[in-house]
Amino acid sequence: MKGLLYKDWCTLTSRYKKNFTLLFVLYVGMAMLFDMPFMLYALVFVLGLYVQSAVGFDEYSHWDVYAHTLPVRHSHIVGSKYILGGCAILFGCVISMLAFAFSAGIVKGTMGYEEALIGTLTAATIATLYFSLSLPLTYKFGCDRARTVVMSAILLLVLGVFLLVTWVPQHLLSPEATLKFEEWMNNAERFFGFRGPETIPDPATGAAVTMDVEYGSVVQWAENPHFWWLIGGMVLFSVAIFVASWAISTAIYKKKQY
Amino acid sequence: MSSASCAAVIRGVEKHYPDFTLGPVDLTVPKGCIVGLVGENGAGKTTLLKLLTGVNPADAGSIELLGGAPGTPAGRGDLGVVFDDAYFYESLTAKQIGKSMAGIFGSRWDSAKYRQLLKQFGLDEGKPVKAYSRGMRMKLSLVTALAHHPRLLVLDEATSGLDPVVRGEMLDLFLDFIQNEDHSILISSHITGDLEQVADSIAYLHQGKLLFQEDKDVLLSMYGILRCGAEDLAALPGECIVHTRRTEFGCETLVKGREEVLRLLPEAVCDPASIDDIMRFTSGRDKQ
Repeated sequence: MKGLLYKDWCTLTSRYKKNFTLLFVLYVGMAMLFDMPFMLYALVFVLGLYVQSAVGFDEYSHWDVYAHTLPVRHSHIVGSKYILGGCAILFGCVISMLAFAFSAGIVKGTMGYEEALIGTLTAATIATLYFSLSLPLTYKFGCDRARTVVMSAILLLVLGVFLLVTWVPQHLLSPEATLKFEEWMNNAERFFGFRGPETIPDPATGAAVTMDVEYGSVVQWAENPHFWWLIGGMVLFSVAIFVASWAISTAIYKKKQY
Repeated sequence: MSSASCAAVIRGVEKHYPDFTLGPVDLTVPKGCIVGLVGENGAGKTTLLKLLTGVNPADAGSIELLGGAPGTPAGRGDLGVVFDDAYFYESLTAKQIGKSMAGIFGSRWDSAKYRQLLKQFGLDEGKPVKAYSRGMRMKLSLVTALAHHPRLLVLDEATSGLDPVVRGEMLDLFLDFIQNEDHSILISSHITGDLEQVADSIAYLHQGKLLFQEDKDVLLSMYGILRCGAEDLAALPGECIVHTRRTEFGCETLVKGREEVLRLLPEAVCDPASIDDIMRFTSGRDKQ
């Protein structure tokens, strides 16, 4: 595994060293000068993409044919990509958080570290899920075809979720069931801190006053401890998907013929 | 021949693709020998080598590689492979490749030997592979295949596209490698002249079938190119004639059993056939 990791690391650094330096300067520069924190979130995602392209370099040089003649296990050949991918995303999170110290938002006080952490962890989750989806498909279909398949899969996924939360309740559920669904959604949003409490005590009379306010700010969300459960769950979920993806990629790789 | 005296034994191996079928193939690579695998483009040489080295599984038959099954990581430790187009990515340097292979092979990897062979072949270990010429790349592939002291070298078109000087250097290295009686080489090549120089036996793969595996010297003395008229040809028994090309000047025939032919037609010209001749005539026969 050590040799495989080193080979992938050398391949990526030999190809992307200049590119990454340029990107790093550009992204961090934009985050610092123009108050664009999302550039640092993008950095996390891009690092994951870099590692994914190692499969493309393997494909180009027919490395997998050669690797099959070496004393290495299939799970290790695939595993080196996952380990490197995981490390790249983790590294992206660390440099993103460090770079935030110099970002315009933090310096001017318009955003806090909490918000930066939430954004970075969300970017890491998205990067991990994208990596986990695209790598098995890349092993299955090859780099070129996989791009189209990944885009189609994401489109279907987004469409599916959209239909599930909008179209299905409106068209397939009875009015009572729709109301129940909306109530359930509201409660879930309230539980995780995306919505304020249903009632608050009137400061003058102490009587309960109905409130139904959607919270739009990360600062408000972060005040609710359950919101952090959601962030933790999201990260754990992406790690579980990542491990499952590793197993699926290995199974695909074992069956591959050249 | 017992399997203990062979580095590789292939028995009845088959591989089926929608547009091509390999086999059934029987082939042995005895210890201490160089076996040359020849055949036209698309005859199935690379397919066979991929089955032998465990890159792909066979659909039928059995393969014994260095006493075990191909495809097991432990067995691959004794195997050195050079494929024509499968290697590390071209932006890596020889030094990086050496370090990576050291991580893959562990204590088996001989870094000193790797550096010595790089030096011997004049390969700059700091240059990326893409800066090498084709000959240098093939040399690097061979150096990489040798630095863990393999017992069997499997080479797929390792000398094709190289100039005679580089080919000569590589052939010398093969002969040096084979000095150890436990070592063996299976080499596929279009350059039959190279095989005539170094191979102990020749296996001829034609349209997915192994037509023969024969000791090279026996093979070259057995086959001949007979040049004679049609009436002389009629005097030969059918089993002697592999294929005849008829021209306005007479007949050119690949014959099997050259001595017998010369005994039957003492006036005829019957030169020893080269491997190229055997391939060309056999291919011509099957096209008819």
